[in-house]
Amino acid sequence: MALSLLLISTAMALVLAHAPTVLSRTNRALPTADLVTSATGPTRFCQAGEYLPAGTTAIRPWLAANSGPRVRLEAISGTRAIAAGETGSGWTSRELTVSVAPLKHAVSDVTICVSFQVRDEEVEFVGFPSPLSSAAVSNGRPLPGRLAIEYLRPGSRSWTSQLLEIARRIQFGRSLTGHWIVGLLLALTAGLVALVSVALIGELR
Amino acid sequence: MRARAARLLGRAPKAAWLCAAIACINAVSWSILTPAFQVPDEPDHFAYVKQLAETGTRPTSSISHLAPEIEWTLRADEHYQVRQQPQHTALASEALQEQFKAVTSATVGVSHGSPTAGVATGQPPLYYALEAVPYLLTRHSPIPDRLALMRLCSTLFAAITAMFVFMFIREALPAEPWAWTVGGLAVAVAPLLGFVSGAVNPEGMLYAVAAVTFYLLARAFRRGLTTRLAVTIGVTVGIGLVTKLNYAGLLPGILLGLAIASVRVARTSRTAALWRFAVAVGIGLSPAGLVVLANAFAREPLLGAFHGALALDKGSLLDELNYAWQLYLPHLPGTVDDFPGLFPARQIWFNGYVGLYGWLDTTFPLWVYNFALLPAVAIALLCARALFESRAALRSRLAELVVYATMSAGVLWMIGAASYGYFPGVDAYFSEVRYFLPMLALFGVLLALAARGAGRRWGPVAGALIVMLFLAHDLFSQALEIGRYYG
Repeated sequence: MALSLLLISTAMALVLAHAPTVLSRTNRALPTADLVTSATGPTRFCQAGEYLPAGTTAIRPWLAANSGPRVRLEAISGTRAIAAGETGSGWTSRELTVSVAPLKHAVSDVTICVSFQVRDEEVEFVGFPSPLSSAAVSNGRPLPGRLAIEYLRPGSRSWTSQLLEIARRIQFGRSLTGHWIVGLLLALTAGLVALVSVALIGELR
Repeated sequence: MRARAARLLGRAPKAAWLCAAIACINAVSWSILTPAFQVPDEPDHFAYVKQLAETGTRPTSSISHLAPEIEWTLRADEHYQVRQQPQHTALASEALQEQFKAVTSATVGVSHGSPTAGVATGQPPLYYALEAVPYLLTRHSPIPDRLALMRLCSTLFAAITAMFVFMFIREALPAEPWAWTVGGLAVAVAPLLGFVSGAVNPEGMLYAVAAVTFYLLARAFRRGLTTRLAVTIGVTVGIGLVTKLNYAGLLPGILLGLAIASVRVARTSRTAALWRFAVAVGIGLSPAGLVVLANAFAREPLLGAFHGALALDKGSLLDELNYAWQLYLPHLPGTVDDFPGLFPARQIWFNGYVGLYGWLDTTFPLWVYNFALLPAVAIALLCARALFESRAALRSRLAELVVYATMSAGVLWMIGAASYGYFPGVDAYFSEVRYFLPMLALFGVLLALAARGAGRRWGPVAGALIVMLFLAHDLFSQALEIGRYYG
């Protein structure tokens, strides 16, 4: 048990030393998002005029589904795919994130293409309206808008360096606020670990 | 009755109380760290309670525009930007917090109920009636305070769940007391139990009532169905049926269990057997019977919201059964593949259990789901070994096993039937693992068996490792939630 607790602590310390992924760029022109189109069959969707920031390690196209299909994403400059990635099926909601190999330099005027096969499930493309000249294209057909796309990169600040900021923000979104909330959460976690340990030592000897 | 309940709980071992305390603490943690309304359908459940507490009537419309003061709170909390947008964290600045406090303080004193309660509208009222108590106690406070106290009350159901999972394991596997603790503790720290029970959601109560039901049936099999036990089972079933519609999934198995337990009583007295069966079924089904009668008088579908939820008038039963089968298992030769390119058991259910929080928008990195297969396979192998070694005992308890299997199949079929109503537009509409949690008692038994599968010498060590694995899962899930909303 002591070894397990040590392992958990070490793993938690490693996670905290790690810098979380941050948003490096989004193409969203408006804070709100609308349904651009939806697909219920094999689809290849392409959107030109994107900017791929340097060091991008993941791209998040705003696709929504209940049980999403396997998705392949390509970032194409000219005729060449400069970054590509794939994600398995079963993703849900809007949490689709496709990992790609990072580029050293930013590239402008990139076309982002997303392709997948679905038979029944409806996949929604969420974004914003745009003029036809800059609109995205799905299976060769122009759409009434553009897909919202977010570009992610590893952050420069570790979780540890953000702990005070996180502790401050945990107090927001409540009427009763104060540092006691963080203290209470820490006490509950300590109590949880202590009680589990007591129960294991007492009952499994 | 109260004295009997006190005697019953007083006989619970100390470890059962520890499991209850741990589950409650865990759910309280989840209730604090999860931002207001960032749990699936929580605004709708809150609206139901508001309507019941302020007007004494149930909501009548399932449209998603809730009472204005709830909508103000949701907007001030940036709910619609945060929900399903993992890159958008919860409130991030003092200015937004001040604005939030100003808006939510305006919700004090507005008490016109909420005639609309979204997806909660068709649900039975018991849980909401209980939650009306903390709601009314804080009715002079802003909505977030009311929600916080309601969430705290819900955490008590996590405690009841963990305690009765422990008690069920004690009845089902009486030989090795240390294994009861393994199953009870692992369930107590299960993150999904904390996440759901730490929110305003009738499922927290459903898990508790289901765990009590499993325990009572196990008691009937081990000690015989007495009249007292028949009454208790009847009351529990009645409570379950007015807690959440999903409880009905357990019903075929419960009826089968009662029938088998009564047949055993009939070996000594036929009259007693019939009486006890009738008492349990009569008490248990009376709330549902009243609803059917009311619907008959109102010339509405007899099964009410249940009718639509199960897609009873859509397609052939064979197609529906085929769909429900494939929702969990590989499709059979000669049948149409309803989930091409998707293996639901792994991608929906296993990954969903490993980590899918918030409005299904909070996930671990992909490697975590792959890594989680290792301990899952190890636990499954240990469990299989324990089952193989106790095959003789299993044969002698086949009828009991069939009852638990029927209860599980009922729950699974309900999820499948309800999802089938949305198919093919949506492959698996109700694809959330929280719907499996009424079967937590069986999950606890499987974990206890896995520990026993390591043998007499190494069993307790394996058990401790299983509990620590579940604790780690819980702590990292909480860290994930904190990172997602406040990072």
